[in-house]
This record gives sequence, structure tokens and C-alpha cells, in this order.
Amino acid sequence: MTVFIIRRLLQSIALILVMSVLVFLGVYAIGNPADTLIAPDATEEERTAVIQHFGLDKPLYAQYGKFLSNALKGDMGDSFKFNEPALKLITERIPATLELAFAALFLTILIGIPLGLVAGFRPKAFFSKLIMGVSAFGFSVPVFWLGLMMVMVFAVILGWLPASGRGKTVGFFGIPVSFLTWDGIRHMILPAINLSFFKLSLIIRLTRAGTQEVIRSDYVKYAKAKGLRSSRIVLIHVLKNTLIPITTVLGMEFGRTIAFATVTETIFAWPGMGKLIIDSISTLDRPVIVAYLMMIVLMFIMINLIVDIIYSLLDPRVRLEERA
Amino acid sequence: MKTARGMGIAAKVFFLVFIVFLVSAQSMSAQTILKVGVSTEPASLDPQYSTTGATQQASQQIFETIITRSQNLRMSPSLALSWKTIDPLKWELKLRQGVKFHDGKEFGSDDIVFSIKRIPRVPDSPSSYKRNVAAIKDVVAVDKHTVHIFLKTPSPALPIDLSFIYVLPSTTPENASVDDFNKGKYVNGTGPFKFVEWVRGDRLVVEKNNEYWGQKSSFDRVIFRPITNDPSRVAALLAGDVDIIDNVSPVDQERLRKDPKVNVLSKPGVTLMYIHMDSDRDQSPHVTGKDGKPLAKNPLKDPRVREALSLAINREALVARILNGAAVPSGQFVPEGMVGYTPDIQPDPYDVEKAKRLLAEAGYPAGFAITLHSPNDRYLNDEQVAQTVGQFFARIGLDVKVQALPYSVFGTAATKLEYSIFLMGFGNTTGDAARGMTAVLATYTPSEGLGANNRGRYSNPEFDKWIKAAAVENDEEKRETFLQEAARVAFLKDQAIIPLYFQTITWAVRKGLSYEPRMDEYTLANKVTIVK
Repeated sequence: MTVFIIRRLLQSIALILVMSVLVFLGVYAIGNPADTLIAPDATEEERTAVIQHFGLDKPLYAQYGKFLSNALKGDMGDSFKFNEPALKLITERIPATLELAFAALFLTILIGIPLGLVAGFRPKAFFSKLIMGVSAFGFSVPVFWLGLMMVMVFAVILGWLPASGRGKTVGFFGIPVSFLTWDGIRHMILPAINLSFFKLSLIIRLTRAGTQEVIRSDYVKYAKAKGLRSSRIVLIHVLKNTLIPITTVLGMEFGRTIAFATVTETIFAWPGMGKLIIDSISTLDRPVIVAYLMMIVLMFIMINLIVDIIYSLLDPRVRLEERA
Repeated sequence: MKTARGMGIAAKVFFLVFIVFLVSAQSMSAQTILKVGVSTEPASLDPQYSTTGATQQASQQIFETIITRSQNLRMSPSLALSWKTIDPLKWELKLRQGVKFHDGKEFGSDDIVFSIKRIPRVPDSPSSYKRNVAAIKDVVAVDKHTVHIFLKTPSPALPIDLSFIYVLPSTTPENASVDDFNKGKYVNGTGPFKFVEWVRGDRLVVEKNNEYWGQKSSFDRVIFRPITNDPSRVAALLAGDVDIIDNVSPVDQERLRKDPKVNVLSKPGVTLMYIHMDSDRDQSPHVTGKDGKPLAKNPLKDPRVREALSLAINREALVARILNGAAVPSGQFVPEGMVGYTPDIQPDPYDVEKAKRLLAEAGYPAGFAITLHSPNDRYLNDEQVAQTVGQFFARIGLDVKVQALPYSVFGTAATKLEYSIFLMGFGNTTGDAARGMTAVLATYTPSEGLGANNRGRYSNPEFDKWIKAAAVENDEEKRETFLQEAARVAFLKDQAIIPLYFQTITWAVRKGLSYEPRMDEYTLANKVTIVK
């Protein structure tokens, strides 16, 4: 297990390096940050000064070399736009995004798995059909449309919930969080539902499919024959065995939730990382884009690692060393 | 034991939540709060860091400039009560007395000297205020409320430059970092509001300065919330989350005008949208014959062709249909009311017959083929505007392709002169035609700071002569005449660019509030008033 983890981490370093080259090249190919950053009516002299200051006049390999040597010292560079360390800008935004992502994950698990189980056990019941219908809807509706509709209905027409923003935050071990205030929770409900809707549909389908497969298996039949209580059969035998694919998918989806909550964050003006990255791309604020994407790569590697470990705990047949 | 500990945590959490409720309930009482939904957020709270509109909009609440600008961008007294030239290279400012900074320090000439001298030393700014002090050689405090400014060259635009210089107290440490400012440590101005807190991406909170010399706020506290998404900002207003929003898109304006709960307020803005053409090279990359073969000569070099293109555009229809009426057609660089506006230049009429005749006279009776480039994320409905203009060109017999790209790509290519004809905008934020005409229309001469945005490389010595004369003329009336002469050369004679329209700027407020629209697009919270 230890060998496996170390090997994974080594691989990740190579991956991050490749990623940094790609992102650097990509941003370079899109356009010159000078054209979006510098005021449109700036004089040539001002332009040259800014370009030199950011090192944009140097050849690409020299810019990359400088970036890499700084990065090794833990300095990802300063944002062109804000003149503050890119990492600081990103870490400032992490709590908001994580909080929202966890709320969405929580909703997904808490609602998705039980509904999936029900739909799997009683596939012919009306309620199950309703669940499957809603999940089909969840797959097909665009996130931004759903978000705007929820805002229209719950904020504008009914006036039950606020339309956007994060609401009141309080320090929780020094990190600003909003789930500890009523105002904060009210602000979180709509974006969390919006963010979880697709995943919820996915998990319902996965759980249902898994359940249907497992209830036909011999050991469930045997458990029934033995006269075990059905609650025990469901929770121990069925659920545990359907959880394996669900864990993998949830892990991947959680990563995606954090990395690409952009749409939801934009609609609900949620001050997370997604909004930061979109703004940075439109101003070609390269240090922020590079730092963000590298962090996301790192995060995906960590999530995959954790998923693999949980996997081995859920299914003793899986041995980490062999899979690596 | 285990359960007991669990209970302990649960109880603590409950207690915490309870405290938060109490605190929030208390802070709600008796304070009047104005919530502003803004479309962008500042880059920094150092008021001398970045000239971008979003940053200045925040600075305007807390700080003041030496001279201020009215809603029509005319100069008006602020911290300086009066300004005059003693000789062409020496100006005298008389300062307002009895003004205090938020920390209690009395405002005086030392603060003006400090603020002007600090600008070149603000590090790492991508859009610095340096050009606003470029003409200044030295600043001297004569007495507590008199300042003399010495110039390198005569600069009639000095008052405009001073209207961009935000005043910090001379006690601000030299090494104050951006971080210090963003945490509010040195955010100490003379403006209508005091800084409370800034959470990037979420809110900027300020409170009323009861000792402000000018128009005091009607609210105790103001919260600015950045909501970049247009529909979300409108939803926030309709849901009552915010009281006023800026930058209402034309589609939403239509809807909001019908809503009895809100008022929509608008005014023509300063951003000119125009079509820029390559009027310099003999072979231009995106102009060919209709058979796709290169032409002997670039037709866009001929002023008759450029005029024909201008006559081909039905500006009224463009504004009404594509921009939902949220724009004013234009035939020149600045809107009415601004310095340099030329009353005898009107927007070209829509005249297809004359346009075709001009094309034939110029030797292109059958037209030619062009690709019109446009950004698709920079200006209001930019891509649709380009498509429509393309169709107008097709009506006079041109083969037109329209290509729209993100501004980050478009801007780079346009500056590298990779386009032949393209849609572009320029913000006349100084309230004066000189800067825009110098940047967009003067002959490209980087060493003299001329033509920095002249991506079509238009060049006419006569135009340059008037612009250069205006740049050194101290007499305001004469200077305006020179600018008008320059405009006549560029628009009546040469059709250097094709002006299309000025976008209107629009706010929406909840009923019961009022705001006077401003050309500079700022939402100044102390000017939001309560109406009965």
C-alpha cells in the first residue's frame, strides 16, 4: 500500500509538469495578455513598460523556465490583474467552493442512494417510475437553465429564498463558512441543488442498476432463504455491493464539482474558484490560470488515490499493489 | 463517554448558531442599508493602482479626486476649489478647507503633493495612472491650501488628468503593499464613505462618512455585491436582494420597464462603436475580388468606398432591432455635450443608391469580397451587430463573411494588423474627444504617443496638424475648435472610420429610490436618493 501511494505521487509530479507545459502553451496560443490587461488607450511607452514588467517580451521557453524555477520555490507568480500571489487568490476562494461542493455531495448521497434503492427494489411501482422520470429530466436539462428557473420561481416569484450571493459567513476554525448561519443556509440551498441535480440523477440510475443486479444474485436469495430481515439484506448485502461503482463515480464527480462549478457559481454569484477562473481566462491572467489548473490536476490525483483506497476497503478482493 | 463528547459538540454547534442569530438580529436593527448589485469588481483598493472602471467605481466611494467630474464628465471643483494657469508651464490650485480624512487627519496641500508623486511609484500596475502625471515636472506646496504644478510641456488637459488622481493622506507609508490596501489598512480617503470590509468576489462594505463635505449618503451602510451574470443581477433586483443594479442588458430593460416594482434609468454612454478599416496597405489580408483572387489595389484605401460602406448602414434600424433601442446613432467620435463634439457632423443617412454609385465611381461597380471581424464577448451584442453590418454591406453588392472571436484572441490579431475591416469600441472616459481621436485616428507614431489604437493605420497630415495644435492649446475655446476641425477632416472628408453608435448605460432601481445616470457608468452610492 505504501509503495503504491508513493508511486502514485511520483506519477503525479510528471503529470503536473506536462500539464503546466500544456497550459502555458495554451494560454500563449489564445492571445497576448497585454492586449486585454492594458487600458485600450494606453500609449506605446506604457504598453512596452507593462509587457517588459510581466516578462511577456521574452521568448516562451524563457518565460516558462522562469515560471518553473519560481514554482519549485513554491511561488506560482503574481496575478497580472490583481498583483497578488495567484495561489493566495485561489486559496481565498477554496472554502466557498468546497462548502458548496460538499453540500451538493451530501444532497446527492442522502437523496440519490435511497431513491435509487427504492427504484431498484420496486421497478414497477408508480413512485419508482416518477423517480426515474425526474432523473431523466436531471440528465437532460442544462445546468444554467435549471439555475435560472429556480431563481425565477423560488426567489423572484415566491420570494422564499435569496437569488444569489453567499450570505452571512462565520469563522469556523478560522475559515469563513456559511452553513452555520440560517442566512448562509438559505443562500446555499438553490446553488447546492443546482450543482447536485445532474449527479443526483446519475447516482439514482447507478444505484438502481446495481440494486437490480445484486437482488438477483445467489447470496441475496440465500440471505432471503435464511430468513434475514429485509432491512438487513438491503443495508448489508445489497447496499454494500452496489456502493463500489458508486464510490468511484462519486469520487470523480466530486472532483468535477469542485473544478467545474463555474456555471453554478456564475449564475448564483457564488464567490468560489469557478468564478475566479472564468474571469481570469477572459483577461488571460496566466499565473492564475496555470496555478488553478495545476491545483486541479493535483486534486484529481488525490481524489483518485482516496477513491482507490476506499475501494479496497469496500471490496477486499481489490489489492492496491496489483492495480498499480 | 463517547456519546457525552458527541453531545458536547452538538451543543456547542447549537450554541454557536444561536449566538450568530442573536448577533445578526442585533445588527439588523435601525441601520439603513443600501445594496448595490454591480457587474464587475475592483482589482484593488489602492485607488492609484488601476484605471479600470470597476476599480475606480470602488475608489470613488471612499476617495476623492483632485478635481471631480459631473455626470456629463465636465470638470467641477472637488478637493481643488479652483485651478488656473499662471504661465503655460505653471498651474495654481486652490484647495478646499476644513476637509478631513476618515482617520481624522486634516486635508491639505501636502496630501496633493504626496498623491501626485506617489503615482509613478505604484508598482506592477497593468493599467497605471502614470500617463495622468506624465506632463508634470514638479508639484510644490505653496501654503496649506495652495499648490503649484510645474509642467514639462504645456498641457491644456491637466484638469482632466487631475480628475483621475485619487488623493491619499501623506501619512500613507511608502511601502504599503497591495495586500495592506485590500485588507483595508490604508484605505483612508476623504470621500462620502468609510471602508468596512472587502471579501473578494462576494462584497465590498462601506459606511457613511458623517463628516463628508459634499452630498452625504442617505444610507448608513452600503454593500456592493459583484454579480457578473446579467440575468442573475436582474433576478437579484426583482427578488429584493439588492436595491439598484448597473449595466442592465437591453433584453432585460424591455422587461423591467413593464415591471411596476422597478424604475429603469438610462443615458447615452461614452463608448463609441465603430468599424475600422485597413486604409493603408495596398494588399489587405481579407479583401479580395468576388472570385477570391487578390485585387490590384485595396479598395478600402479609397475614401469613396469607405463613405459607401458608411451609407450602406441603417443605423436607426441597427439600434432599434439589434440593441433594443439601447444606443444612439453616431457620426463622430464623442456624444453631444462632450468637449470636441461637432454639431455639423451628423450620422450618415441610410442611402443604398448613393452607396452603389460611389462604389461604381471608385471602380467597383460589381463590389468585392471582405471578411468582417468582430469580438463576441466584449461589447453589447457585438457579434449580432457585426452580422447585421455584414448584411448591410451585402445589400450594396459586397460578398461578406463575418467572423466573431473572443476578445482575447481578436484584440491580439487586430493589433498585429491581421484584419482588414473590423468592429471595435473606444471609451471616451476623459469626457473629451482629444484622447480617443489621438489614439484611434492620428498617424501611427509610437515615439510621440500618437495612433496607439490606430489599427487601420489611417493617416492624414492635415488631421495630425489639428490634433497636435489642440494638444498644446491652453485656451479652451480655441482648443475645442481645433478638435472640431480635426473631426471634420476625419469624418466629413476622409471617412477614416465608420462611427456606428454610442451604447446607452442603464441602471435599474427599486421603486422608492432614484439615481441620476452618469456618463462614466459609476454607481455613486451617496447620490442614490430616497423618493416618496
